[in-house]
Amino acid sequence: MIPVAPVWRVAVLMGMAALSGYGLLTTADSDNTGVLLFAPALTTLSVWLTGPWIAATLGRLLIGRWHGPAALLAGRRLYENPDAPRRTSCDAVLAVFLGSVGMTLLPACHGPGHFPGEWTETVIIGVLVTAPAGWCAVATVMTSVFDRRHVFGALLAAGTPVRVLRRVVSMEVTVPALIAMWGAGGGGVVIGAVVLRLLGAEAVFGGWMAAPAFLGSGAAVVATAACTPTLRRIGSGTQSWPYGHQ
Amino acid sequence: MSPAAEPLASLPPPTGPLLTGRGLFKRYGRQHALAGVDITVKAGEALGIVGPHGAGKTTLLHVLAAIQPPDSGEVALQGHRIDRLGAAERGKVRRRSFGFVFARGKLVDELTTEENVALPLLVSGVGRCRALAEARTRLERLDLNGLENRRPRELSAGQALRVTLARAFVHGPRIVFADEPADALDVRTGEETVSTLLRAAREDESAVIITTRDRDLVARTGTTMEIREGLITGGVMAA
Ligand SMILES: Nc1ncnc2c1ncn2[C@@H]1O[C@H](COP(=O)(O)OP(=O)(O)OP(=O)(O)O)[C@@H](O)[C@H]1O
Ligand SMILES: [Mg+2]
Repeated sequence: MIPVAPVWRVAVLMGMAALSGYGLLTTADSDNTGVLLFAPALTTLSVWLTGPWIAATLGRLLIGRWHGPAALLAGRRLYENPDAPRRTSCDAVLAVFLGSVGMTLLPACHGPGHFPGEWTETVIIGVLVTAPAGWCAVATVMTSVFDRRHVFGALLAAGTPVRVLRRVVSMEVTVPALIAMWGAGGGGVVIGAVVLRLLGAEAVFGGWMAAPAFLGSGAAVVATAACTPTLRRIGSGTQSWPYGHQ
Repeated sequence: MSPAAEPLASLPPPTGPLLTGRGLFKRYGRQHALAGVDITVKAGEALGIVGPHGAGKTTLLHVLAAIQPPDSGEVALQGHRIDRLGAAERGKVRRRSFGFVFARGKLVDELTTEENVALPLLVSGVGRCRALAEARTRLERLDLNGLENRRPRELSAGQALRVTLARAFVHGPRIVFADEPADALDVRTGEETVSTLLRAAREDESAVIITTRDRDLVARTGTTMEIREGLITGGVMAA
């Protein structure tokens, strides 16, 4: 089987990286807002391009190694339909990215060493990251369940435990989201550090920079747990027929 | 076999009726879907339930298969009440003792044919190699060899239905519930599918309950019942 990682995705990505480097260098002497506007767009595009590749690769790993039904179902789905999680998780990843840039820039605004003394900003960034990341994660999980309510309904009717399907959802939605969020978090820190250097300051590295990725991940994990009542409802046959023969 | 595997046939050998439903009522709002149904299924029996749209066929199957509890009445599998068990326990009964053929198949699009057939075994804790091997044996027995690695979209409607038959029987269930198995098929393929279903049930000594709107289609089952407005109307007639 040919992996769904066409060379052009990587090529476009490298082109964008080169362009952003160029952007950073040319705006160094004058106004840096261009860079700040450019970086989020770049992240969105990167996720857009590499997301399906990450999903398909994860799918391929699962297809090779599965032992239980959950890994089989999630692996095949990720491999055959790697675009599916991208629809909604993009915004969550962007929120984590911007949060990480903010976390990197913050100490410089207050002078090195004063961070994390400024709690107001920290809390604001935390909320700005967690709220959209949480909302997106819930939307992605619910879409994943709703899109397949007929198949999930038939599986539950045949006696598949809810726990197996929840594991399917966490493998095919939550795991790729976590990978993307930690990637975006790392990217945000790098971009933040580059911007600081261009401004003539030095970044202070510390564990707090991981806070946005950490909060985003937490939101994604909580969102996965939130699909349990929906799965129970699909399986109980109390709403319209689980296998929707109408 | 993995140590976590659930025994697939944990119930004692059948004596007396296999499955009984007594005084089954089920309402949706003011609509009576089941209005007092009594039904008995013996081990290895082939039972046909015929009735028009909205007669309550699907509701009856769901209640008998412990997918949905009845509003009143009781369902017993080999003398053990199953209708009042919790959701998880009812799920266990379904995956151990029951097989299902849904209208229009409902195969998982992304899985290959053999993976679809292996699912009931995998869900019961059977390991990958053994589950896939048994799935292939089943496919062979239903003349589907060579199609192991196809996806459902690469199968004809008749082939897809036969794959769902393989899936329904793969774990050796006591009863297979088939809700309008021929619904999406032309007349001839529908008849062939029902014949295959009945043959598979005979070979496996499994009981089967088939619902349909088509009188001719159920003529070949051992026992035929007619359902109308939630009541068994046509008396039991042995073929
Ligand atoms: N989830 C539901 N909510 C409300 N009413 C329902 C629901 N499911 C079934 N009904 C009603 O209960 C009655 C029996 O429905 P059921 O689906 O069991 O009939 P059926 O014999 O399977 O029909 P069909 O041949 O169309 O599949 C119908 O009047 C139907 O409208
Ligand atoms: Mg029906």
